[in-house]
Amino acid sequence: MNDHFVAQQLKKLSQITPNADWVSQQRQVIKAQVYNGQQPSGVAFNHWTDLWLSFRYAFNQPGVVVSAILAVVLLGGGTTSYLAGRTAQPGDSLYIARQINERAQLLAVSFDRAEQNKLKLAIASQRVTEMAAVDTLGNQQQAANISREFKQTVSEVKDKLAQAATKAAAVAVVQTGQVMETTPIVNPTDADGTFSVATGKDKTGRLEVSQTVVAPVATQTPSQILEEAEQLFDQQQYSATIDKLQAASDLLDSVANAK
Amino acid sequence: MTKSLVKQSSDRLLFLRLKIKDQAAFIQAYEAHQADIYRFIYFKVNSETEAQDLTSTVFLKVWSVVQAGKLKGYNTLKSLLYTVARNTVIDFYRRNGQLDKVCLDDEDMAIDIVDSRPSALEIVQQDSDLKMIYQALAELKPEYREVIVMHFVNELSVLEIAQVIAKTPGNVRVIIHRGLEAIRKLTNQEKLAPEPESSQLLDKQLDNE
Repeated sequence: MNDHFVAQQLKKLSQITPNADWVSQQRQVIKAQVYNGQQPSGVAFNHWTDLWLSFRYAFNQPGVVVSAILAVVLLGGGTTSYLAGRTAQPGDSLYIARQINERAQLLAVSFDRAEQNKLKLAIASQRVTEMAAVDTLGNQQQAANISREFKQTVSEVKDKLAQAATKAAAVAVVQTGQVMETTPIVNPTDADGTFSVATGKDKTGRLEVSQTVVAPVATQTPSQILEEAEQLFDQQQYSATIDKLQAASDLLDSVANAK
Repeated sequence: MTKSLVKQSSDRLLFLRLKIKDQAAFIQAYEAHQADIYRFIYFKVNSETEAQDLTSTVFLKVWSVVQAGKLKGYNTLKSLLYTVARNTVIDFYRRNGQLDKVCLDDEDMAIDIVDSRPSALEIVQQDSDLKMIYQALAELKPEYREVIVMHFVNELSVLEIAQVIAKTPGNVRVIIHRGLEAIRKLTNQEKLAPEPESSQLLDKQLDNE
């Protein structure tokens, strides 16, 4: 006979309960005593009272009070840093908070490449506005830092776009099951709005496929637009740089929507 | 586990409402705990009638404590109920000491099962292992029996028991461990012995019922 068995047997003794008749009688006696012969008050304690009592009890516990103060300090501090950091300029003490905030936002969309690219372009636009502000102050060191960050951000987007294009081409090859040209051979001279493409369909040769196409809206790829934006940035044409970044972002958006 | 947490939360709320002298909360507390308090007292006095009377007394005393607003010394509803129950049983024995009744709280006196009623006995009769444990429990030192009943039968936590008996949780754990050890020893002895007196007495009572 081990402790567990003894404990199990002891638990069975909880079946010992008072006689039901006695319980019933006793309930009446207790009620009579408690209500002093009067009817129970109609104004019963409701859930709001319970909630209030629970709050009052909780805030009498030292642990809860300390936790609440810590939560207020951390949340309050975090929110204040976030709000202040949103408008912080390079050189401000809260500029680092802003950068952390940007990284956190990028982390939040790390599984959505299109969103991440768009967010990076928005951050790059932010760097451009900061560069404009720093240029007027003539702070060379800050200007160099911002320029480096801008170029790094734009470069990251371009790299991601290049990777995505390579991956898409590889997928196309796998789907056809044969070696074929990764880029369709398009005849731009077709005047009737058709294009020809080598599909690599069989061993006998190339199969020409013709299809009416709508005249393309965008003549540039997002990567090309970004290169232009970089050039404009170097030429200190900040407003035009922001326009280009916006155009690249819109183009990425439309490509994502088309998919 | 979840059930226990819900019960704890409900008890905490009832206790808070008792602090503002809520009558309905007291009735709810009575409904929720009368069986446990009865059982706790029953294992102390070993008499159904006495246990019933004392249980009534306990709840009336608790109500007077609530009305007087003297709940500051208690941390939980259970600590309030069990502390009042303990004190009530002690008072009962003090008052009735001269009546030459068997005092189960007296460590030097053996415990005889003299006033068990069908409800408890019938439960025990159905299970030979349980009967053995029941007998061993009756022969335990009152200090051990009290804690064992609170912990294993009425399912109070070590911390709750510590609040009731005004000892540290460590002390309570030691008592529980020693109590279990004593029960094991007693049950092993009973297995070896042909037929202990308490068992014969219990069987005789069961035959009479």
